[in-house]
Amino acid sequence: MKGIIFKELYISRKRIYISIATYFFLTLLCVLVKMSASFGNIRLLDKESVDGALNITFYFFVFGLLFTFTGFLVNNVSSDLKSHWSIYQRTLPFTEKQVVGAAYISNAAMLLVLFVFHTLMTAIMCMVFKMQFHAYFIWIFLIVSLFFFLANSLIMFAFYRFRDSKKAALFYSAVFVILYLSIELAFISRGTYYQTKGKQDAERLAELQGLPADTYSPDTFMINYVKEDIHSLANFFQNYWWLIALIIAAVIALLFFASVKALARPADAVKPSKEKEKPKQSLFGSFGNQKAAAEGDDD
Amino acid sequence: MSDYENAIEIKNLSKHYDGFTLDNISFNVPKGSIMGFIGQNGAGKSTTINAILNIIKADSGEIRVFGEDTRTVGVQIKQDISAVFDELPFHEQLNAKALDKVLRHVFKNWSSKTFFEFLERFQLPVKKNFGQFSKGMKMKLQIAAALSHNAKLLIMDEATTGLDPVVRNEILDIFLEFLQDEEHSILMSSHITSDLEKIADSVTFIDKGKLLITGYKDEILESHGVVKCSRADYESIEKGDIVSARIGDFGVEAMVSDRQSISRKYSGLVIDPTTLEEIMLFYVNREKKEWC
Repeated sequence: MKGIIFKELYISRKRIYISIATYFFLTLLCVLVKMSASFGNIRLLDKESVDGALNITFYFFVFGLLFTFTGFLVNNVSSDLKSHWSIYQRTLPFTEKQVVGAAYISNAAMLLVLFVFHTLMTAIMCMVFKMQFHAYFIWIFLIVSLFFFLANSLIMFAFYRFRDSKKAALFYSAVFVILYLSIELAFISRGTYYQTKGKQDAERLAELQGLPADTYSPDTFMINYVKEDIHSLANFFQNYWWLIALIIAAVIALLFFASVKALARPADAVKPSKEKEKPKQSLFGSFGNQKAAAEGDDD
Repeated sequence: MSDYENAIEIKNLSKHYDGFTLDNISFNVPKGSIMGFIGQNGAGKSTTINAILNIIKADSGEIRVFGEDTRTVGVQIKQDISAVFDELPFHEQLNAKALDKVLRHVFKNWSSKTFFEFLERFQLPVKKNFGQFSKGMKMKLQIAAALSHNAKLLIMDEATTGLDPVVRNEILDIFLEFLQDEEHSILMSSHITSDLEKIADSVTFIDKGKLLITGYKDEILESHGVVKCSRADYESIEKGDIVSARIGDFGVEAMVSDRQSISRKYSGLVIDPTTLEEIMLFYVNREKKEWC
């Protein structure tokens, strides 16, 4: 399995180098903002603006830089298909579990290193920005890392299942769109609830004071329900972050076994897409040549 | 791996696709020999090879490698098998050095020393990305990788197609060196019959998914011959005695599959020795019987 892990990392090395450079570049920008707030032009602004700039920069570093993690993730299934390594791999002394496992292990190792590194960097930045290091930073890093792992596992599964870049892209895009729309719908329905409750509370207060029903704006009351929900959500995450992590880990495990099953299907289980068919010379030559022969094509 | 007589045993292998059927293919590759697997493009050579390598699943039939059923044997058997394909199956971003690091951890018997010796022999650069290799370089690279882990079985699918004669000759010599060890065997598919005539011990000829001939090359060449005669003489030959006949303006060339008995039956006829290429040509046109 070492050989495949090395191959996965080697093929991804350019993307990893770019991600490292992006991470440190953005970190440097954050440090420069801090330096400007201490010694430069930002220092010349009023205290509120300086604090605002520092807060935004600090939280951008803590949470925004998490998105650079995606650049470190290994997913070479598409590249394997294009180069026919996926065919050659079937002649190597590996089981499908080992092949998929190599990608998962590479990603898990990458994310673990990034998780530890980013936690340390956050601790350092807390000292630089004179901010408090909260415990919830760690479980947010963990949840986000797991989510990226999950998303990457889904994309890998799509490539193993469809063995075609376009179909795979269509599949995982559909999944993400459905997910996004579900969250969007949830927000919209919750928003409707806030409006209704806010309006009810505004009317009730006006009624108690003997004033017209539309005296008070529902927005003032709505905000309380929003704050209540955010608090509940934050409490839930704080108390049950391990449950979320467990659910994500379970889905990742499911995707692992689904990927293994998809990979175990023979090479001809999925017909290659037209643009990949090469009737004269192909590792899938059995398709192209036999189709050509059946249609009476002569070489 | 139990003691075995044949490196590969195929019994009644069948595989069906839309418009093509590999129909009950049976042949053996004896241990320590090289089998040439010939046929036109689209004959079913790649399908057969892919079935042996478990890249595709046969619809029916039995395939044994080193005496073990490929459906039930574990992946460890692949330590002793090397496959060479007509296209380079390595990422373009890899180079030979990286490939060595990968395959070193894949094959227990991988020898980096042997691999780099082959690279030097083939004059292949070590640090250049494979995407910048020519076709000949890619093929030589594959062969270098295939011969660097002491594999007992080399399976090649059109490995020498597209190579110039000098390179092909060099590679054929390397295969002969590989076979010095009697534990080593080669199954080599090609439609360049001249290569197979040089080195193959046995030959299997497949056409349109059907097995036509299998056996020792020398016996096949000995038993087949080409009758060159006039049209009048040709008319006197029973059509069942010939494989097919090429009708020309100045005479007829007819392939016979049993020189000795035809020689006895038609005493006036001259039967010339033949080549694998001619055998392939005449067998491919066997259904037409007469062609030009």
